[in-house]
Amino acid sequence: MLAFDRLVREHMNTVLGLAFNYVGNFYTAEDLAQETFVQAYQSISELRDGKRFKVWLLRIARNKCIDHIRRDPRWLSLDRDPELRKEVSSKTMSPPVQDACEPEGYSEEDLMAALDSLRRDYREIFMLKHVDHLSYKEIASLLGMTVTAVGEKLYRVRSMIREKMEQSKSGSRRNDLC
Amino acid sequence: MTCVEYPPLLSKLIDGELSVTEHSDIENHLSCCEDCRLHYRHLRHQTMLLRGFLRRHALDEGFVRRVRSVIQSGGAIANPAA
Repeated sequence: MLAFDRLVREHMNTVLGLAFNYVGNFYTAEDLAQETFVQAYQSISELRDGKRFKVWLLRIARNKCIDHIRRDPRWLSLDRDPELRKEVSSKTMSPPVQDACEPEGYSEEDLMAALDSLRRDYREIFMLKHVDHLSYKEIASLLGMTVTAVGEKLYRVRSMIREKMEQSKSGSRRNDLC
Repeated sequence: MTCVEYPPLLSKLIDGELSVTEHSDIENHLSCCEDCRLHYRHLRHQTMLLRGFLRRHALDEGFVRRVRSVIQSGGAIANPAA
């Protein structure tokens, strides 16, 4: 059990980040993370290669999230409605903290708004890369893509995020002038 | 290599996925291209903002204890949708 505790400690925030990407609030994401680890513990004998634990675990987490969304269609409609999602998020998250060093003048809120406006598969790959620094090879294995396609998609996602953040910034400037 | 070919490499640079040759190539380019430097700074900033956000919501030792407790009690989990 102590060895499994170590695995939970090592991967809990990766699983949380992945689940958050699907459901958009940390309470449900934490429940899903808990379910993921319990299932992983119960089915650990099915894992043939211990080196692939992380990818195997994230696959369980991904299936849990998809099952959850299928079970509760509220989450799908929430995901398609950025305003409603924002409202729920504001009730479940602590207020964003401005980073002390913001060379571009953007906040976490700007980034989350840009992420919210992306397709789920774009958000997913961005989160997978950043939550636990998965390598392109690991992401490729998890999502069933080639390593080259992972690199190209991450580049597209980042460019879209930059574009959306800049649009939002120039939009608020216009509003300030009105 | 022309300037438009560098941004995909900047994304790989952020992710630590460049080969030694690509790394040296892009370092040379960044030293003389303001547009690519700006793009690189923006990509780094995205990463920094997301890390800050995730850090504030990180799980702690209490989560490890809760998972252990559920497993030891037989693995019954309350339905989070309920």
